[in-house]
Amino acid sequence: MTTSSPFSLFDKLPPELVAEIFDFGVHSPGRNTGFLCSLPAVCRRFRDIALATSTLWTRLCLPIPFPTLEEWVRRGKPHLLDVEIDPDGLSGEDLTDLRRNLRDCDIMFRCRSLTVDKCAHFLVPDVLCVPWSNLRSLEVEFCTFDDDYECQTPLFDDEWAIDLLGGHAEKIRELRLREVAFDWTRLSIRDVRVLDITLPSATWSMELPTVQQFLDTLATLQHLQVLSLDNWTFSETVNGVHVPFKIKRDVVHMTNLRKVTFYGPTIHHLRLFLPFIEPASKCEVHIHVGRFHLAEDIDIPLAPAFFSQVHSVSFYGLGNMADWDEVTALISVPDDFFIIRESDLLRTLRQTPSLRFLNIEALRFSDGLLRQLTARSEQSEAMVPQLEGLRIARCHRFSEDALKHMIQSRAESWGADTAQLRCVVVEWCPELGRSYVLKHGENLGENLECVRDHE
Amino acid sequence: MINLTTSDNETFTVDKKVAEKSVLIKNMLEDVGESDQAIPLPNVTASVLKKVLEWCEHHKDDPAPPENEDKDDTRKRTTDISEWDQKFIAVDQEMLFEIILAANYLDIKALLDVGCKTVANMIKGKTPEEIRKLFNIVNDFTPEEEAQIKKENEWAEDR
Repeated sequence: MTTSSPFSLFDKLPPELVAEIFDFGVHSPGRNTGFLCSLPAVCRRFRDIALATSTLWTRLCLPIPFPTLEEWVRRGKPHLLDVEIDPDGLSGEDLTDLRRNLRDCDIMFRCRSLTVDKCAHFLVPDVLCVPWSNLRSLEVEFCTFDDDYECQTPLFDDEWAIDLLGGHAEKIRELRLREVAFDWTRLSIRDVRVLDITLPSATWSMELPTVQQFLDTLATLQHLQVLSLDNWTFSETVNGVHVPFKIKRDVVHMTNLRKVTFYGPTIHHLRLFLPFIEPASKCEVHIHVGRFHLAEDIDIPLAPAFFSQVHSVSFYGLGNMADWDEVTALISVPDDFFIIRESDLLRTLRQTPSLRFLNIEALRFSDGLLRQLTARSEQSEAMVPQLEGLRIARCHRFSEDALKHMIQSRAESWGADTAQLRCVVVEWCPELGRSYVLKHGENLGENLECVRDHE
Repeated sequence: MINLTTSDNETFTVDKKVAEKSVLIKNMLEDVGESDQAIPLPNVTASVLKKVLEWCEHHKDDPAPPENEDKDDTRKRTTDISEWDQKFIAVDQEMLFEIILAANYLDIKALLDVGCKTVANMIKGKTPEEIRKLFNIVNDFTPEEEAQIKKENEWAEDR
């Protein structure tokens, strides 16, 4: 049946291709309610295809009115649902209605993934306590006592939160908990593949896990592939100081752990737990300093079991600066702010004999670091002998000469156990100028001027 | 090298690796074996095949996409398109839809995705009337149906 204009190019497409186009629109990031409302209102053919394609109705961005929710949930049968909730701006009454709507539509029983942007505790009392038989991905942000957001619903206590997830979390593959003000190590999450935990800024009112509890929990997560820890701290930290502690276990071997990311104050506590973790080989590590932390709070510890498995390290200073003025402001930042000290960079690199790729963003380092990376002779012991790729972006205080000297020295493999530095990217470094972009893919021994590209 | 003949009787000689980005052609070659005979492509014109082969040439070394999707995963998709593909697909609407049809016929999943994402991005954020205008679609609802649909979507108008 063709009911749209005979001149519409859509008439050329069979229904399955039209449905595929709709599917991309519905399941791509961003709120999709406007898209879902518009499609069936264009013409009869669009409406027929949209209503006949049940998978289009499986991603629900809430809140939406109850009659619409009920209808869309019906259209999505028998598939599982991906539910995204943005409670920002909703009144306490709205949240209560939303909670009731979720319950009345039996959404939790069919939910495959749930994302709640803020105030997730509004779901705690009676919605999240149903069996999570199909839930595989849970990403929720709670509110905490120090939160600026004017939350309309009462906060939960620890026991509620544990009850909420404790009995039903076994099948969760991806767990992302933000501002989680309860001891998540009490959750049963043995099948989790992705674990991303952000603690609140103020943890005075919550029960923190001990290092022992943390390691014991990690030891049970044998499928874990990705670990991210933000704002992390432990019970062994009192007023910012680490108290003595004992660990009653050997190094935790995490044979599937391939990506580890640490943010902000977590870096201050790495020495409490990093030496006790051994990830999978070829693991990648990302260390984000964040804006509000002093260099003296940052400590990359000796952790040979951990770093010996690492193939890729990224250090990030001030974060993702898109503006050139912000980048140039780096130069005037006081010495003790926003940086990982050069000694910590070097300590990390000395422990990573297998390192293949190094990425440094928005940090300061001197020619001394580049000299350490410079190859001198086959006899001398060079740092990161396996390094094949290097990216330096938005960094300062090193000289172009030292950089070029280092690159040229590693243009070829200079010993049996060393690799050739194959790829170098240098961009947006304030002292070299905005237009200075060095890209080098191969033939490093050739004249570097050939690969110096002025934008 | 492989010869391909289009619906308008033009023959293209292409590298086997490039041609085999099409699952249809790959299967045909496996079925008939080595042959000098041109493979007929009755559903593709020369101008469209030229564009499709340009895409295949650029992507000939791309790794094969994973075959089995985890059923437990969400249906999350992305409408992001690489810079090169964006430039490639910046064509008039008629060519865009022809590329989608050709990619579907030739079974080139990645190219089909580029085409479908492009059209999805064109639809996103538009009202029904704007979509009709963009794609020359006639509103064929009865006034009663339209009133009913408008009532259904009333809540969404200010969002």
